[in-house]
Formats: sequence, structure tokens, C-alpha cells
Amino acid sequence: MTQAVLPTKAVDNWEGIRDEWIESVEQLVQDAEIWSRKQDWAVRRDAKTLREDRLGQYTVPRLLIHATAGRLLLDPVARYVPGATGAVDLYVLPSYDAVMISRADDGWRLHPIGADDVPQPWSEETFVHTALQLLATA
Amino acid sequence: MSQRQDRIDRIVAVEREYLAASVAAELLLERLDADPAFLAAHDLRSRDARNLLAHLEGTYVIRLCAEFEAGLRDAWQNAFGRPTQPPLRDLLAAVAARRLVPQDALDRADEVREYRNALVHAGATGVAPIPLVDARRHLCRFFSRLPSRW
Repeated sequence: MTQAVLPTKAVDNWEGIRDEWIESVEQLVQDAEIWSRKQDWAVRRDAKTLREDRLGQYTVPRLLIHATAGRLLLDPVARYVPGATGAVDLYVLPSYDAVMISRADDGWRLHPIGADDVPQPWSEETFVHTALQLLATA
Repeated sequence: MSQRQDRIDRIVAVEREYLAASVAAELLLERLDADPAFLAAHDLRSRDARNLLAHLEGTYVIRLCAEFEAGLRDAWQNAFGRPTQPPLRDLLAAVAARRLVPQDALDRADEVREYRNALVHAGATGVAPIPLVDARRHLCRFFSRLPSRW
């Protein structure tokens, strides 16, 4: 991988951690692609460049989802966030209201729209339910 | 407009005030070059104008931080339903954990907080200065992770 910007606060095995994170985001985006297509929503991938002190600059996929009721953007945020091992946002356009998706040791979790709601495991059911909730607020 | 955007706009407005004040201060110094007694009618000296320019950016960094902190405490109370008044350092960490703020954004906001403290308490000695434009960028980046409405 081309590393245009090296980490300024490199962690041990930063290249391995970066590659594992990119692979995890790739899997998340792939899940969302498959589940979106099953809903007859069109999807389009593009690349997003992230830059973190601990990992340097790298590229991850992000996903634009065209549903009948509007558009969603699955947008990676960072590998290093307090209390999690990665964060991705799911935005609804054009309002940019979002739900957060965090990564823990046991996988991805969707943080529902209600602030007091308990995070849900990442699954087709929770993804579609949350996407429809977001689209209703667009 | 969302509460988050309203708060971000307020932070950006402080930066614009600073830029306008910088122009005004430069004009004042130009006027004083032409007429060193220009401020005498106001019982002020040229040195006061030079001090104004020297301290202007730091003064506005303090204002920027005040606006950021007010917004963050508003969100803490009304978006997160928390009635407590934690120190800003703890508040930053608590909000970062709840909103998955990137660690880099938390680190930068905390550096601005430390610089603000140094300006207030110790004349900013021993702390690397943060240009106001960078401080605004760091604080807005952190704030953009908050919920849009509360």
C-alpha cells in the first residue's frame, strides 16, 4: 500500500492494525451493499482518505445508498476513538442526521437514533430498520 | 437550523470578529505611525495599541474556547440529559466516548484547552501557541461529532 503520510504518533504494529481496520471496514461496506441490494436500493462505492496520528494516511471504502425514500452514506470516521476500536457513521442526505456504528472486540454495533437506546449488533435486520428510520427523517 | 450548527456558527463568528479586530488594530498602528499622539485624546499611548495587537489573538482564543465550552455544556445538559458540571477536560473525554469522536480530534481539542488555560493562568509560557484559525478548526471538528439537534 502507498503510504503518502506516515503516522506522527505511530503505535506498535501500526501497519498491521491499519490493514486489519481497512479489512473490517471493507467487510462492513460489503454487508451494507448486499443488504441494500436485497431492498432494491442502488449502491455506489467510492474511496475515502482518512488520516490518523497513530496510523498515518490510508484509504477506505465508503458507500452511497440510493433508496426509494432518499440517500444514505456509510462513512468511515476513524480507527482510534475512545471506548471503541473504530467508528463509522451512517448519514441520511441531505439533512446529514446520522447514527453511529462502533466496533468492539465482538464486532460492529449500531447506535440507534434514540440517545437512550441500547446499541444493537450489526445485522441485516438492524441495518435495514435503522436505514428506514433515518430515511423517514430525511 | 440545528442546535449543533447554531453553536458551530457562533464559534466561527468569533473567528470573524478576530479577523475584523486584526484589521482594525493594524489600521490603528498605521495611524499611529503617521500621528504618534493620535491616542492621547483618549488618555492612551502607542504602547497600548501595540499591546492590543500583540495580545489580540490570545484574547480571541480565550473567547473561542468560551463559546465552545458553552456549546458543549449546553449539549451535555440538553442532548445527553446530564445535569452535572464536570471540568472541561473530563467533559471532553465524556462527550468523546459517547459520540465516537476520533482520538485525534479529542487530542487537538484538549491541546486548545491547555493553551487556553496557559493564556489565562500563566501568560502562555511553556505551551506551544495555537493559531486561532487552527484552534477554530480543531474545536469545530470536535463539535461536529455532536448530535445535530437537542
